[in-house]
Amino acid sequence: MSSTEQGTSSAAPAEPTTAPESAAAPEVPESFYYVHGKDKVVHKVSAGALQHSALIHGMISNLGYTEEQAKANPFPFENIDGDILQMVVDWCNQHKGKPTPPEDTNLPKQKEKLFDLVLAVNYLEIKELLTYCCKQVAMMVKGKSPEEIREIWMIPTDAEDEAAEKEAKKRAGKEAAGETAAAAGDAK
Amino acid sequence: MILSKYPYVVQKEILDHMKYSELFLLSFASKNMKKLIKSSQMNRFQSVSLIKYTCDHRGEPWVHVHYGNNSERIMIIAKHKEDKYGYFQLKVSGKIIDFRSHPRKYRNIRLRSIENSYYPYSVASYPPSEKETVVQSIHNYFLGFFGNSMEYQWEAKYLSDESFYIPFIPQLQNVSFHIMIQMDQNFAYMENLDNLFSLSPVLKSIKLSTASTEPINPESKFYQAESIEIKQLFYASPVSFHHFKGRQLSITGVGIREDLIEFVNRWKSGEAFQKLEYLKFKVFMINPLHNGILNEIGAKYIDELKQPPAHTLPKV
Repeated sequence: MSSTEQGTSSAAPAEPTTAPESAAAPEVPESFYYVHGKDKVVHKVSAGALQHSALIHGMISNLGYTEEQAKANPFPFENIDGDILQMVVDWCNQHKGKPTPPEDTNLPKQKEKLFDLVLAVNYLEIKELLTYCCKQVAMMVKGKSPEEIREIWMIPTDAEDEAAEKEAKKRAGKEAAGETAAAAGDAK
Repeated sequence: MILSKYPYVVQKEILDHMKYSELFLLSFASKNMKKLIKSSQMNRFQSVSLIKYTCDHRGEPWVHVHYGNNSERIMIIAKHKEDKYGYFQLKVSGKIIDFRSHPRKYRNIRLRSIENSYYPYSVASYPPSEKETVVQSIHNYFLGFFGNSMEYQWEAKYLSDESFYIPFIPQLQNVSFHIMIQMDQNFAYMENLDNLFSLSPVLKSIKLSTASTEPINPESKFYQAESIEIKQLFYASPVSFHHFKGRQLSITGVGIREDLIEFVNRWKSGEAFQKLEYLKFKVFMINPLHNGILNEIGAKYIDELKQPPAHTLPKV
């Protein structure tokens, strides 16, 4: 599990394990990084767990932060709700260094939570978790009629799509006219 | 949850997890959704090699999508019946058709999960008078949805206890028709069959088991089928070789008929049956004419200890 620096439960940073005498090389102590979401609650996550996220892995791979530097510079993900980031961190910790199973039954069942989780996971580029989440979203419409699917996924009707398109065109036209008028004003 | 707020890659990933039958239903949610399915699933649709309608003696087709070495049942088209789960209506190629989903029945409720509560395919239903138009509308929708570059096949076959049936052959574009029928001496049945051939498009293949000796009308489109496979119970046959216009002919029977000599020699000389590329006779009993006929057609004996020449039969 992740440890949080503010608010939620906290766990002591993992101590480097003592290498057995027979081992040829001593184990390298695990490094930790810090992330926070919209709620500013900081989560301490091991580099091993963060490897699931291609985005964060790319960010940290060349930093070479010391523990203090990492603590002082948590990665801000202001576009991700705190509880969603907690779910992501938990998942990364649970699957650290393990092959991912074909199914994951611990994903949120509530539509809105799952929706936010998908966006976060896509942003953080966690491929396996994105696959599970998308499968879960696809599963929501099993055995449903097109009308029921439209309600679940809030798919606009053709009439709504047409109205939105018309509105977008109108807006684009107005913006273009505004730009032309501004350019003419500048020329004068 | 607003699906359209997801980036395209996420929308694609979600659709990647849906079965063909689910994508079919989803395509009715909106025109934009149909466009999204077609663009995001282009590669998947390109892997579809065949869409096959399989009918039994009731003429209620089961539709399967074949891809790679797999297939998925996407729909059953069946006569309308009351259903406690109710129907929903879809406008398919301009025609309103009743559909219902197909829940699974579980003896052990603990086995039930979201994923396996339903059979993935839906049931399209038709009132008896609208059977053909319903099938046509669905097929036309498939042509637009999956594209017309793949093969569409219609197969009508009998079950053992319902042998003497008249296959249901609708008028459909871009479809090859394959039927499996049995004939007996029943005159009315023969007449109905004759009628079927006259109204149907030219068939791709016919597998015929026959105990009838009543000849098939020489003008019948039966003889235009690309491939005919006959199993005949009696020496006399309802099929006259001379009218055959297809590519492959296979006959399994009780003996070799005399008219075979003329047939084979005309074929070998190029005088007739230019389209014929494969002829097979399998004989249960050797009749007195056997060796004489084989000599007349110039048949060669193959030493059973030697490897016979291989011939690859083009698939029809």
